[in-house]
Amino acid sequence: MEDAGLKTSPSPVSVPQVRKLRVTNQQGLHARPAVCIVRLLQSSKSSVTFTYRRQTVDAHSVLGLLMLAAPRNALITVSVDGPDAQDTLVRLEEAFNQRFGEQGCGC
Amino acid sequence: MVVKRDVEEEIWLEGRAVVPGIAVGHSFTLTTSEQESDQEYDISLPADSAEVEIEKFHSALSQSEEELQVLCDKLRLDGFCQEADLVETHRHMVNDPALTKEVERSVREKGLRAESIVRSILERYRSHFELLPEALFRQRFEDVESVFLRILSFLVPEMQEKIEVPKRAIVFAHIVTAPAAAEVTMKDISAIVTTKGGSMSHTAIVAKARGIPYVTNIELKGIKESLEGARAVVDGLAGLVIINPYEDTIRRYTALQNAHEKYVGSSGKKTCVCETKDGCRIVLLANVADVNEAGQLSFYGLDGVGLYRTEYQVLERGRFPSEEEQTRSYAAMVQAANGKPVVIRTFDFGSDKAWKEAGGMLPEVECGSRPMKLLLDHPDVFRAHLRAIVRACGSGPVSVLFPMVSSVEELERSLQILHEAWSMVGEGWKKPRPKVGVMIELPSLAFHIKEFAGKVDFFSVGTNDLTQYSLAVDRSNSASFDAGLSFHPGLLRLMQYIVKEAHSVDIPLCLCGEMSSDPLLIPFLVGVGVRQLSIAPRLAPTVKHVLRSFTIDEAEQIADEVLSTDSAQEIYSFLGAQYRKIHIGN
Repeated sequence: MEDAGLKTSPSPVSVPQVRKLRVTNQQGLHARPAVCIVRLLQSSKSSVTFTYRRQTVDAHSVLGLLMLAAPRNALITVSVDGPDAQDTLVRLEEAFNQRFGEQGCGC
Repeated sequence: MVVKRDVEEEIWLEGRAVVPGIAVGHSFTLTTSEQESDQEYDISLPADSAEVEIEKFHSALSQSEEELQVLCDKLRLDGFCQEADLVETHRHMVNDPALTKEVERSVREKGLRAESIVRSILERYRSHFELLPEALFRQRFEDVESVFLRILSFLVPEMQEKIEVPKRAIVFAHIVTAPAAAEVTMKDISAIVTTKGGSMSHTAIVAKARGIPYVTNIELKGIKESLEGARAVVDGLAGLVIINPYEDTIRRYTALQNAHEKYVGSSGKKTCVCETKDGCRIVLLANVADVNEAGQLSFYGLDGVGLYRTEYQVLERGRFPSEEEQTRSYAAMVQAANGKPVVIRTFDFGSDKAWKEAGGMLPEVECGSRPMKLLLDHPDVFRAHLRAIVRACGSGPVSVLFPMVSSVEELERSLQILHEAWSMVGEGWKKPRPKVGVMIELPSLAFHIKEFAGKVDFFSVGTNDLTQYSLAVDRSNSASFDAGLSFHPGLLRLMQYIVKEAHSVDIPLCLCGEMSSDPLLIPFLVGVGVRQLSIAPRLAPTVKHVLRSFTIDEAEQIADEVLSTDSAQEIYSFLGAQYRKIHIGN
């Protein structure tokens, strides 16, 4: 995958990877999608934050994600920092694109 | 002065049924004193007890989690997937790292009690959620609150309300908010009635998991005095509550309650197959309009969806759903049925439905047009509709059902469009072709049944419309429509003819409509050879009960007697007498 802007050199100082992801499911980032994200991140070693409407929350927290109250079409700034940042970001992007399994994805 | 009346008037109240079931008992009014949250308590900890307090907090978390897990498993087992998902989200909130971190830090650094920290975090969430612009998210505070109150109930055991609810009481409340209160209250009660509370409220979820009949939308104002300790009947099938029921009402409901409990009792429902007394299997299917109802298939031990009314989505939205929206709904329904067959009926806009509302997409549709004509006149809408249905094939057995078909030619044109739809989205994707069925709702079609041989896989008889068009009565006009019309000898003979014709060409036939769940008519229907019924799921216990009370031989004798009787009144009396003989024993 070509993603020049996100390539990081394997230096000991980690640089957070940032991407904007759009919420596409009907009801927005409500309780069920929040659980979907939290579950997905359980296997990730990175720290992840979501920013929306100038509010930044820990994406490992269902309560935090609900606080965002991100409706459909909301553009979320996702920031991932850690050893498996690239992989985590890819999986998050997939979850967003799959509408958090609102049609039955694997998470 | 107390005026003692000899016979108190029975009071009928209509609400909304949330959890099916029947209860007869004494009422108990639960006055939920606003949670005493401003009660005085010491917010700071004694010195050196921080670690003990943190341990206490973690123990409250794991107890909450365990309780939610039990509730979640129970719901999933009973097929309440959506409810289970919601409880699952609550479980994740209990384990939320943000919550744990903040509580631990404040206990250690500020020397505060976990209780006061949890309460202040809850208040912070409350003020945050109250300001949210979207109602959908604002309402979600209810979930957050229920989780926090649950944790608090373990943290502060004294908080668990000490309400002494009499055993087997029918509990009346305005609303039950705290989850712990809901669960404590629901031990050993026979039914719950509230003024407020949706089908996904915590009370509803607990009631579903416990199988406690629950009726909501019952206004308690004005009946409070007559309520206390009075006898009451809760009909969680019809959404009725009866205060001070007459003896006769109690007797009838006790019989229905026995029937119901036998078939949905926690032990009975999994094993209870739908069959006659002598073991002849009757296929029992569900009429549904929304994917949320699919959970009822396993709850009531039903064999599949016999009628999925797709037009309800149009009526609900006030417009035609897009092809994508349709695809999503149909696939969701097929998946929710979990391998059981689903019969998807194409949009059925008849004269009795407010289909004008959908007119935005279908210009100049005339009231009274038949649904198949409408669809055939708008092949683009029809094709998109069928494509969405075809896409749902493969996730489970799917059938397409064409309503109100008036001729073989109309079917053939519809089949052509179905074929086009399948070629576009099914063939290349190796999707199986859906089975095809035709609804017999026009009396004239009864004389064309043999011509459908080789063209359709099954018939479905829509008894409501068949009655209406056979006897020239308008169902939407309740004054002219008399329930007794179902016993019209001509109509019942027509039914028998249709079943016989379908059998002669070896095409399976299913009966849907009100007739198929009428306890008096069921023996007759089975007697003329009906072996598949599609009904409102909540009526399943009653229908199973009735089916198990007679043998095929007895049903055939009843049918013979009915077919040789010339008046509706006589048929009605005869079937009524049979029913009493079988069920009440007199």
